[in-house]
Amino acid sequence: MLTVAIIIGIVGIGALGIAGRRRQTELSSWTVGKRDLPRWTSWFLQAGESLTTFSFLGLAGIAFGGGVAALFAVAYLTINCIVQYFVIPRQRELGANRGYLTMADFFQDRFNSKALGKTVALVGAVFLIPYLQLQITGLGLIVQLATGSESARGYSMAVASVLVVVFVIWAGIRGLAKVAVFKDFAMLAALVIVLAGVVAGIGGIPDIFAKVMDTAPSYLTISRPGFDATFWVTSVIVTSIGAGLNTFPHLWPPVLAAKSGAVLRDNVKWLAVYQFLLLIPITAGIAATLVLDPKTKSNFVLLGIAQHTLPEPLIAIIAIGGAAAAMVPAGAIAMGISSLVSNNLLSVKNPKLRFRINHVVVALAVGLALAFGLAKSDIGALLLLTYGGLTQLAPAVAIAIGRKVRIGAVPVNLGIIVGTLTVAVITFGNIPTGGVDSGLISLAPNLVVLAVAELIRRRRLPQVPAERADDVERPVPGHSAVEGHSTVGVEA
Amino acid sequence: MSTTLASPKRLTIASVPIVGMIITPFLPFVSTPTLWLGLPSAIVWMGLMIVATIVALQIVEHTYLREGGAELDRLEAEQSALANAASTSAATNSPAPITERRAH
Repeated sequence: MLTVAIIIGIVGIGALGIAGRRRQTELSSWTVGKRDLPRWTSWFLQAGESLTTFSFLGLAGIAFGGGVAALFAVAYLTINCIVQYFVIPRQRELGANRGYLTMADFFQDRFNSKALGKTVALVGAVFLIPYLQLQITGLGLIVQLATGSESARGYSMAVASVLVVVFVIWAGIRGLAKVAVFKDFAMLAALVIVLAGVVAGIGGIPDIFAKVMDTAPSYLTISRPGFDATFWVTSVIVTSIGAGLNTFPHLWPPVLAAKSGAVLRDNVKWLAVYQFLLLIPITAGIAATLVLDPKTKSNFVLLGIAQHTLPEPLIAIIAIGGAAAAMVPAGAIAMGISSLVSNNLLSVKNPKLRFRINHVVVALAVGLALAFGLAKSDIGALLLLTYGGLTQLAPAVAIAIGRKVRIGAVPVNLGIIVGTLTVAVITFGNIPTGGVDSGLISLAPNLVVLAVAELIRRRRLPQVPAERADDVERPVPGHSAVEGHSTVGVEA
Repeated sequence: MSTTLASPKRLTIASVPIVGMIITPFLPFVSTPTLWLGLPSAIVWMGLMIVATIVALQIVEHTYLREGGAELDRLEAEQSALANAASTSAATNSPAPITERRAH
């Protein structure tokens, strides 16, 4: 019965993405609409990254092992709002004036280099696949834990994947926005239910923390093994740099689609309120140390404590909220991967063919992530590369949002490649870093290579400065300054 | 007075909660187990930092709008409206006036 209710909920989420939307017929309107998304639509799309399966499964698990150190996620997501307040209106302005559809368009245009655009598209698409798998696997895990059925896990993953492909292909960013609204309310309901369960089943919040103070006070400090001050400072800094400068390709469409920079600023200056919600799974994770077996796997903690304290119908609501928290980011990530591949990696001139290829890539990306998830393939190590690897794009973003771009494309490209390879070597080589985040370490060789290569470039070609000023009149070749109508933009 | 969004003054205001969050593990009330109002001091501190972030960004936005940002926003809105009008015209196969095209 519980399985049926959850599957119906998942189908409902997919139907919501399609309902009332005409099928999108071109890549620009599919990706960024008419660049006129109003405040509240942008709000729910921008909030997407604050509430994901990580908020559901990951945070409670980290709090179960590391106590209040799990607050590092609250810290970096809040700092992210501050950095983005200054950065994304500029990215949106350039995008609207120059007709960007993807993050790679931004790099290609600002550094006047197709090669750099392709590097960014490749790095972005590859690193997003594990992130997509994480969402789909997380959804399956939520359903499995809620129902106790292994087969329900597989069915729910398959059904949700198909629905994500259908509603993303059909409605693009507007369909995603509609589901994002439902997701935020479902997550709010689910987290409040979890909190109510903790209070009803274990005791009042002050009582819980008083017991933790007596039994294991280290949970109330940032000092547990693997979750010390070094972990906190380096993780918060590197993730704030990466997320703040918007180095995740799937987060660009909501920025490029917004009506104005003022809309983005208005939203970001309030979006930090979402972080209050994250205090609930952290509290639940710490409370779980009082009732769950210490050997409980970290991903099982939140639903473990929910099952310990709540009746079945409420578990179903939590599971549907968790499913929505997986499906919205999964849709956004699939859009991010497909637009990078069809728009930047493959040089397809025919717009109709390009849009068809885009659809195929959505299905392939989600299918690949589903296959990895069903086979329980461990591509988790690759996921470690996602944050660290994409953060290597941060120096280039910082350079490119300036009024003038004075650094060459080749030095930037070399820096990205060296930084990304360093993250890979540290991760796969299991090189001890003393708790310092590999992404932060890798920014050092990235910046050194960038600086040395730029010095060499200037010495060899002193007469050719790589200066790129704002140019609102000239859209990116193949794109339009006005969405979807290339002739207007090109003629302007 | 600066119409630049990321002016030194505004960046300084915005950096206050950032510093507050990064130094969290080193604060004396976080490095020793402490409860405030029945909650771990780290959770209360982080709640305060969230509020500080919202307040800091409101101040930054207010100063930006007061020092010329409101006018820039108005111009951007006008440009967007022109772009959308041209887009609609093109969609209905009626060419946009050349003045509108140039506005893009």
